Amino acid sequence: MKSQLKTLFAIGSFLWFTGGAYGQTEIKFWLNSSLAATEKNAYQKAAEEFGQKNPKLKVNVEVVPGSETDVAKLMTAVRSGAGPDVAVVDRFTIAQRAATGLLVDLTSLMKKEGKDLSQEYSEGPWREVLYQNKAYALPTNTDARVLFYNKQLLKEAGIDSSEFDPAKGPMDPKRFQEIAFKLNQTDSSGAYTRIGFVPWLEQGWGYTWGYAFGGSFFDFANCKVTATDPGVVKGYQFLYDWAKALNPQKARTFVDTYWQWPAVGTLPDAQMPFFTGRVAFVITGNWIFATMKEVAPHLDYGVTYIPAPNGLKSTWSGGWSVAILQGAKNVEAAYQFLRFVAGEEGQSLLVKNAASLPTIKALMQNKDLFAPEYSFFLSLLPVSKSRPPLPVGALYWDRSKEAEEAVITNSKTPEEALKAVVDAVQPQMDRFCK
Amino acid sequence: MGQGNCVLRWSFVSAILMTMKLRRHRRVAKDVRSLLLGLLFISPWIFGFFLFLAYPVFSNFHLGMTEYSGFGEPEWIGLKNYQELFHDSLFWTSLYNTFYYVILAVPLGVVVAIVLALAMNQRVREVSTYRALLYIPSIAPTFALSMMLIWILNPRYGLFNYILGFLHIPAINWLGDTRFSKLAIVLVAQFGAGQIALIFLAALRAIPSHLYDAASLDGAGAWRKFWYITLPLLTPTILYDIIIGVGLGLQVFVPAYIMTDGGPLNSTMFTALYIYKNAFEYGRVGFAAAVSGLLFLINATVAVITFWSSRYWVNYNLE
Repeated sequence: MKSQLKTLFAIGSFLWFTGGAYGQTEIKFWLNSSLAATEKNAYQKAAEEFGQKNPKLKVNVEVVPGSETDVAKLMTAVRSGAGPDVAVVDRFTIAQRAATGLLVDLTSLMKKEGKDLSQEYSEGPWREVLYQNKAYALPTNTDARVLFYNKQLLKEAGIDSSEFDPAKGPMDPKRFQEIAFKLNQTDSSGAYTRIGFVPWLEQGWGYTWGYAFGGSFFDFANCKVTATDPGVVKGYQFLYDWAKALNPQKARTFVDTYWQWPAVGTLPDAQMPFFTGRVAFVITGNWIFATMKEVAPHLDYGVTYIPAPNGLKSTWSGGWSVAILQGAKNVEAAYQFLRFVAGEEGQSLLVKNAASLPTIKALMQNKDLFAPEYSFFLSLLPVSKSRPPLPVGALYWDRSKEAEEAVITNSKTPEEALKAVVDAVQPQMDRFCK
Repeated sequence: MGQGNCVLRWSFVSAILMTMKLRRHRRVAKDVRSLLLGLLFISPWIFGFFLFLAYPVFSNFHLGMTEYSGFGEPEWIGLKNYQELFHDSLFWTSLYNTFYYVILAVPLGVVVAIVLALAMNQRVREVSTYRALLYIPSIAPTFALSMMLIWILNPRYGLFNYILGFLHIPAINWLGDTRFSKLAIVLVAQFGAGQIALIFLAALRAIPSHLYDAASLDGAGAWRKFWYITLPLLTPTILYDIIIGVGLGLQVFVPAYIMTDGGPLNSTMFTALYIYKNAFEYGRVGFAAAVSGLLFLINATVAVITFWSSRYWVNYNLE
């Protein structure tokens, strides 16, 4: 009996010493699997640095299945009480996740801290983390979409790349089509082996072209989904016409061969069509610098504005945010970590390791932080738009993608496809309109 | 596992029948004790049945009549979700896709499984090696198979189109063409046929050899023996395969989730994927529960019809 008591005492002491070691509070931090490897590394580093600066707090980083719109794992874990304290959530879905009750309202925590964070962050990203005027997350990074072009391919085709100099402003879509189609190549069967430009590849979403043609996707004053806005219709018409000129089926086969859309996550970075020279132009964002450094360090490329009529300088920004989940075990500690990872230190790590742009105004002025190639992207942020932050954001995104697919296969006119978007999304939005 | 469940269910039904019988007759202490003992033996299953099957099913029907995001209190809205889904064209598209899949994948699965079982049943020395080789694809998880098939079905460099090329069949964009996308998913399902082939193999080996001997004496060839002996005696296993296949087919999810995300043009938007998207992407758990409830009723109806029809085509008379 005596020896048993001794054993129990020894085990108890061990557990106390290791488990409750030095009174450390643990913060469970979830990253979703769709984050780029560079982003995951940056968040991991931020967690480690936070731990070093706050020895009483320990951040356990876990990567879990999920994506920008798919939060099945997160939802079920939180619902069952096994969720994380903090998670990285796509910013444009914050309103939706807040409306479902997944996230903790940060108002009281911010009040306690006594800082007006809305003044620290850029207006666009800050607006995205609000739901009913309350903040539910803090923005960690942002981006901008532009047109990348392969100088070598242009040179081989005898095209003067100076025409794409950003100083000349955005190229007119018609002129751009003339140039891009010169770069198309086919094999003996007529299948494309290279397409100058596929407007819907990578970041060429409906939002990209809707904004490029001056469209608006939501009327906040009247709580109306405006997917049939004339500018948006023109943007989708541009996609429709381009697909028709390429031959929709052949273009689709090309994209499915070299990009494997929508199972795009299965394609190694080095196989991306822009890196392999399968396309000469692509719409993508600044995050590509981190990948390019690894897999295509010698690519001779340039960047310019997204082609648009009437010289309209357009782009849109997305990005991630960090939020505290319902049922978080230690909200105070979680908020402290949130402030670090979405603060200057955390965001600097994301800029350096994941080629992100910051959302903190003060950091944007820090010239030492950015390599020269970032300047064009930073210059676009003042005119950049974002996806409307709505409680039906994920549904709107999915339905817009469906409309885009209908248009690029020429199976529906832009008007029909976009009307279907309004018909599907507006009734759901009406539940939140007051 | 399915068969184990079946046995337990029958035990449960027998226990209830026994209770009813006891009501009619004088209760004998010994019988009651046997009944209690029997119930005790199957109590883990009874517990599991009520906790993991009966309760979720009833709870799902309740949730289907609420507005619920997964958090907070569900708000009772009656039949509104059902009204909405009857007017939702994407729901009908998903149901059409699901039935298209079931109607194609289940019979094809039966044929493939029987062919595999016949191959596994050959009297050759290396039969165990062949059995292992034929069974191996069924071990691979659907997730991994789907990832692999994205590459195999690549329109230009995929192995599948390369083989078709030898037959002078032009390259097909399997996952990007609405005419072929569902067929591609049906194809994935056939990789799992090895599981059911084992059950067919057991059924094949249970057929008495004297039946074949008698048929041989009467001058029957291989085809006649298969058509008049093997196939009729495999019908109970075919029934089992159809019931299981329809149940799983109506819930087809993983290949579409991994390979196509419901596209192109919603041609692989199966009902289970539609439920998933509504529940976990759009936060409409109540609506998703309504669709699930309807799918459950459809599944149960199809199972009842299949059982009812079995009296006309299933042969239980081995003698």
